[in-house]
Amino acid sequence: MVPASAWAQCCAGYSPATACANANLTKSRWCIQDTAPTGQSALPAAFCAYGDKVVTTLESTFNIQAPDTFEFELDTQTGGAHTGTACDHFGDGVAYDAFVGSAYGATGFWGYLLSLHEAINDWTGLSSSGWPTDWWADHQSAFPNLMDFHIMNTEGTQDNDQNLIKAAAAQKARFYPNGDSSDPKVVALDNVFAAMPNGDGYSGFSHMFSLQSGDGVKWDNLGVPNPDVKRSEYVAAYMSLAAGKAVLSLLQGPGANGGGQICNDTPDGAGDAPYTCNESDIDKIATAHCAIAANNKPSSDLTALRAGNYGNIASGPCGATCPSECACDSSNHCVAPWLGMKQTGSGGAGGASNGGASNGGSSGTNGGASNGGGSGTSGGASNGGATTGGGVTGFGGQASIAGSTSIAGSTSSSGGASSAGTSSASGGTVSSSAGSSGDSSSDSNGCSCRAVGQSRTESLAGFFLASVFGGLGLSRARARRRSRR
Amino acid sequence: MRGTRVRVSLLAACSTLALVACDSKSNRDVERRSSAVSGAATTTASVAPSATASSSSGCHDNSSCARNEYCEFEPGLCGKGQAPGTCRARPTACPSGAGTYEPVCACSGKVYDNACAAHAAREDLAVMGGCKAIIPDFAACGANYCDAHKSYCEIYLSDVFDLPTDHFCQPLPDACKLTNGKKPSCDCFPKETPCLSFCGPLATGGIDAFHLTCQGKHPKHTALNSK
Repeated sequence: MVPASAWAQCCAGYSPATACANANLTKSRWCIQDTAPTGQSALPAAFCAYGDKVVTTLESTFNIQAPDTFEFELDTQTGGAHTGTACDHFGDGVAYDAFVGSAYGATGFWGYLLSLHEAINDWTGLSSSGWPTDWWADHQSAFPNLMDFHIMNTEGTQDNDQNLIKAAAAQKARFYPNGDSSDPKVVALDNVFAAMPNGDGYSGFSHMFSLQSGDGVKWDNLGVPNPDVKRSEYVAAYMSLAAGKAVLSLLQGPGANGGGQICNDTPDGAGDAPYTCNESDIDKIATAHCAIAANNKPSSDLTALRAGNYGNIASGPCGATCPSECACDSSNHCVAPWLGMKQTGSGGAGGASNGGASNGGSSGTNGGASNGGGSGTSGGASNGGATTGGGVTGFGGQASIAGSTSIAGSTSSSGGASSAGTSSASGGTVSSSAGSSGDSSSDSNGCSCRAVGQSRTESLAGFFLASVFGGLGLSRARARRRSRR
Repeated sequence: MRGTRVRVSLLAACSTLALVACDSKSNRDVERRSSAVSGAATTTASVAPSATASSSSGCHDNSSCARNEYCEFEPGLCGKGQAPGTCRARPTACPSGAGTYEPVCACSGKVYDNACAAHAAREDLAVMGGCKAIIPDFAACGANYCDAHKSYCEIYLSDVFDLPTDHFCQPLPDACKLTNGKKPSCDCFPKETPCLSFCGPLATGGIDAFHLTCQGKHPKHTALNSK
């Protein structure tokens, strides 16, 4: 029996789902609109625990606790999905018919997807704003769409829920070439996801947001409209810092599986003027971040960076204060890692270039050796290309996976990139020695910069997407205000 | 700024497009044409006066407009979005009689017989819907109500408050119309129908309507933009 108190918690006109009566939910509840023609059978029991897991995952990834029990509503009159509930409870609502029946070969596909997607938007409303509307989040919502299939896959994998894993794979396939919502921007961001250190997009994007937050940079304070080339270059700069390499080529494409069309003069489909991002500007923004840190964050320079005035920031020394995400150039300046010469871990890029290979250690070795011998800048450039290649290789695997098998393949695909990166970063035997030579010279120059491609050991998952989805431009109040559709 | 640019480009494009081919929240003219699917052909003309901006300054509610104007927001977020609205001429006469019933949801939560009637009452339309009124055989579809006998609601979900979800009343294929009192299933739609992968019933209080819902960009956005 559903406790009487539970009924009182649903909005008027909604009743608790009896299917969840014995589910011992602690973070969420499911409420079905009383007018649902299918009554209580609208919600299969399999969704009950999913609700709690979605909340737990989002609390973790956003590092924002749910302010209240999350209420999942099944509506009869919206036909879609929305944030907020009929009575402004913290939660979301999805058309009641989304939870039964099959789509894309997965039972309850739309129920799984939309209840998660709108929950993400709820958390978005709890965080910040200002991400580029022309490629990060818009009607295309490239980043949220990317995270949908990753999170669905993660949940499904944890529970060995083959139906949910299949749903995740299908959702991914929808945005890949030949999918019904094919979107090169989603693919581009997925390529970046895989190109993050160790192929770990969760940690990579989390790192990106921590760097942005650490600098106090807010996209809406850059003094430019949204969208705008400078705003996108800033985002690309922090993304590149987290990746340890320039990712503009992955954004612009064409990359693996046709990913791209970001920052490359392609119209966004919403009438905004297209533009092309400039790598040299991105380099300057990223180097400004490094220089400011190396100079112990002088307030005037931080203020300038936050206001979009990155051009007048003094260079920083390559010393103990040069942060781990940066590198040192031949003039002993603390710079963006792909511009530096002390890229001992650049073997990671080499590994990525052989992403699919089983001998990640040796590919990493080659990469490291190659970089060890190369000049700083050119080495960085070659790393960028190599890494991109790795992404391509990895996603070739994912594409076939997306076809039907399961998105778990993306894990192994990422794992391929990951292992390649890891082997070089942590240094297989030879890779390590290549890295050592770099480290030696680093030390001789007094640089404490970490090697590019080095695996981050700290977990930033908690911070992950606190600003990620936050960029969608919703305040919490707005999210709640959002009308029912 | 964004809204302005969208508006200009779509207004130009919509003039050459077929019924309901444009973004309802970016182009009110289309929104009206969209509602026309469910009935009256005279509505577009009846609301023509409101298409003439009578004030160049932005408004946040009717108090910023003259007494013979109302504040129209773009998109129609009833003043909750970032962009200010525009004062529009208040219609002095609206069509009535057969074929003019095209109910709309206004910002106050009140349902009017058609868009012209709402504007005449100095009300803007709520593109996100939200009106509580139940109108048998008419399904809430954004600011409009789709006549379940003649149309279905096509929905493109958005994740950005200032770029709200698109709703379109689309003509119902003959195969999907009520036959001998029986409502067909979603199989009645041609396979190439947009958003068919998430098709289901939309309660009206009378016969159910259909919703076809897409998650992702509206394909026509790209088509329009590429022009």
